[in-house]
Amino acid sequence: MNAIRKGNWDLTQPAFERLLLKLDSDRRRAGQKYESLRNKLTYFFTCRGVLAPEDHADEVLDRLGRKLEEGVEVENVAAYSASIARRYWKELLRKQAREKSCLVDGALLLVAESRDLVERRAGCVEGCWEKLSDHSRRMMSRYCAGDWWARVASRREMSKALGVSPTALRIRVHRIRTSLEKCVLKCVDTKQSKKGSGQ
Amino acid sequence: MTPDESAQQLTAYLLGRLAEDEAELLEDRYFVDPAAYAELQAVEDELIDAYVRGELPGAERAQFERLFLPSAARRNRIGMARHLNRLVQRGLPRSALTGHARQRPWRQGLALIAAGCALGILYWATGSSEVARDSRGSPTTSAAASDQRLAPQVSPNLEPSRWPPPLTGPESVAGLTLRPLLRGVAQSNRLVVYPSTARIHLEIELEIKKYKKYDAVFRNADDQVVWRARDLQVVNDALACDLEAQRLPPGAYTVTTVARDAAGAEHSEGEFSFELRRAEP
Repeated sequence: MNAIRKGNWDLTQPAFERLLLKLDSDRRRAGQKYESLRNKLTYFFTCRGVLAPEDHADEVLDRLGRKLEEGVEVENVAAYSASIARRYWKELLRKQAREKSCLVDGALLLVAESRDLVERRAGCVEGCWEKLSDHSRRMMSRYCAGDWWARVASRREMSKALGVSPTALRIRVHRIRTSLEKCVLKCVDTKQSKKGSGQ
Repeated sequence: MTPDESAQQLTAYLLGRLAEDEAELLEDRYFVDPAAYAELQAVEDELIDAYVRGELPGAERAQFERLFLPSAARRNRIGMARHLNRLVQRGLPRSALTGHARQRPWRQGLALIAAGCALGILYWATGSSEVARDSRGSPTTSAAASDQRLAPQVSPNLEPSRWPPPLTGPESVAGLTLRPLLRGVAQSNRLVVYPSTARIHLEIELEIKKYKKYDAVFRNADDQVVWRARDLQVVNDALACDLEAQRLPPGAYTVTTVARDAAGAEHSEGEFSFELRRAEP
């Protein structure tokens, strides 16, 4: 599913520069904020059930750049991007109604993964788990251990012991998990490229 | 909003169940607040875990599959969550379970997960291969790296709902008979549940039986209503009540039997108590 392009306008270099400047005067931080915004937009379209969410995130960034180039005053780039994304999503809905496409009902799909991928990923999860620090492994284990009520009790104890709110604890564990997942993705890619090159 | 309410709202958003205006407010928040974004993703982690453990009720499970499976990134995350738990399933030395695995202390953590995830793992062993196999049960080669490369097919046999969990052994149902509180007589109604306990069956013996139907209202130690079983029929001077074991965390409970008269007024007639304990693995 291609993004819905508005006219033939693409994000030009000056418009991109303007967007970066709007995000932060420091170019390195601006780059990080741009990536962060793109991730959120991708996530937004994922949550809204849109396929190829990255393409649509890029389209929203293009539209944002265009608005800035047109001289639209934007106070908060992130909030403004959310509103552009929502308007754009509604366009996609209308397009879907016309074409019966774009938003896919996962309940009607059986999604298949190759056995090779499943096995590669399994090995990578184990390897990456071992690379976590002892502290991180303990945190994740305690957080995930047990049945439902054991987890509730364990999390309450952890919050108390660490002196953090349940939400803060959840986010801490999420960060550990994110690092584990990044490691796994990298590992799977590496194994794939080694396999591709016949090593 | 309490942390629990917040998590519930985020879960509703992730399952596409939040009203549009609430969803927009939430989106505005996570676009501008990195902590809100991290919290949303953390709740997604837990939703994925609940899915792979088979803990999502049927409707939520269906909604989850509708919204999560089309996304390659999310399928990857689901696959990782499965492996993380399968890693544990492979079995650890007894020493790890008892905390003596000094050479590889991390295995102790895995053992803890193993104990907790045992029920969910039973599922994977029997039914989790839907992601790795096609509808005919044979391995497929279609890649998951890109949404566009999916080969969608209408499923003739979507897997059946995994809720409630299958009864896998004698510990799957825990039962207890509740008798009326007797003045001055200490009651010892204790219900012990195992990790594999899926359901709880309570028989409530009635002292007063003026009505044909009653509700059973469960309150926790803080006097909060945690469950209400409605319209239970009186059979042999007792009410039978079944509920999912997960509904009740360990603790002390009181159960009040409540009837409605013809005018719709409610009458509390009996009060019972019991303590729910979790068996240590």
